[in-house]
Amino acid sequence: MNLSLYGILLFFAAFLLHLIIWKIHIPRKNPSLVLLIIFFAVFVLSVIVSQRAPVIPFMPKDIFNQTLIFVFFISMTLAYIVSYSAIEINSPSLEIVLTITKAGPGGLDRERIERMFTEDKLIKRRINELVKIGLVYKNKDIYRLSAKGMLTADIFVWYRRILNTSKGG
Amino acid sequence: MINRYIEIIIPIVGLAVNVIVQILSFRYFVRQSLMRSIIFGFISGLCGVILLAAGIPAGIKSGFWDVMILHVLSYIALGYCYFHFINLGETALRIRIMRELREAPQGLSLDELLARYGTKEIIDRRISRLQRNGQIIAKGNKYYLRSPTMLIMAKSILALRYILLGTFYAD
Repeated sequence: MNLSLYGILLFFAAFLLHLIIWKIHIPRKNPSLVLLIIFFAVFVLSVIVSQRAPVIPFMPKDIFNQTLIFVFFISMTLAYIVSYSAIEINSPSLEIVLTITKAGPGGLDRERIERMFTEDKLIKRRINELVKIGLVYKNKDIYRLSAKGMLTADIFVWYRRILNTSKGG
Repeated sequence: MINRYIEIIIPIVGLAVNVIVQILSFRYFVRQSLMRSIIFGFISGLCGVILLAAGIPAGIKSGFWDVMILHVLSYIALGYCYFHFINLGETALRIRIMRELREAPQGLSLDELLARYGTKEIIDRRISRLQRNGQIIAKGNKYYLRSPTMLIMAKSILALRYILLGTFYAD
């Protein structure tokens, strides 16, 4: 079980480093990119250490096993990054569920749910996020997709078309 | 030599099987039930990973169970990413906003965007989805929690948010 154990330990080492960095300073602009850099740097460092001074007896040294570990590591990193994006912004569905739970046995009426969400909270905040990460740009009062935004939107348009289903949202 | 390279891409092949089965089952077999198609796709991909990993000759592996665990965990992580991608297309507000902008090459003002995709539609869709998935139930004009699945998910996200960002609240 050495190879899989090494892969899991490596991932947790990267996660620990990410946690320590976040306690010092949380990047606001593009945290996903910063996460990718941190995790990738840990992997590269592990490869160098395994070749020069293997600190763990079962550190893989050959390219084939290193590549297996890389596929595992990058898969776990991507899974973590997509989870992280769910932490950054509130999901309206989860907010509805939490508020219904807090309401207790009396339940929650539709009016109260509608009062929870304003245009500011739902749309303006999100469009500002899209502008911040460069997927949308604003010219005077008009919002348009950037080239990167168009590509991203197209991926989802094509996928929904393949599924033959509605817009979503 | 070819078998060694196949071994490296086993989780990716599993993901490809997942995607194909999920799309086909959604379109033709499970009556447009997205969750069922996701489950079928995931299980099919997992079977593919296990069969491929088990079929690799033992002589080139460092250890059967060792490599099997690695491939299965890699596949589960990739499968989770795919699930997240599907979920984005299905529920994400930002993706819907981008799709509305995509359909309007001349651009949209905030008012025009809200006319196409406003607060009422957002709330209606979410309540409807939560009811359809059995997470909440309506009795009279009130809503009640029916299943704890989304609640567990919400609390896990809150906990992780607190650990990473030091707050329960997103900006």
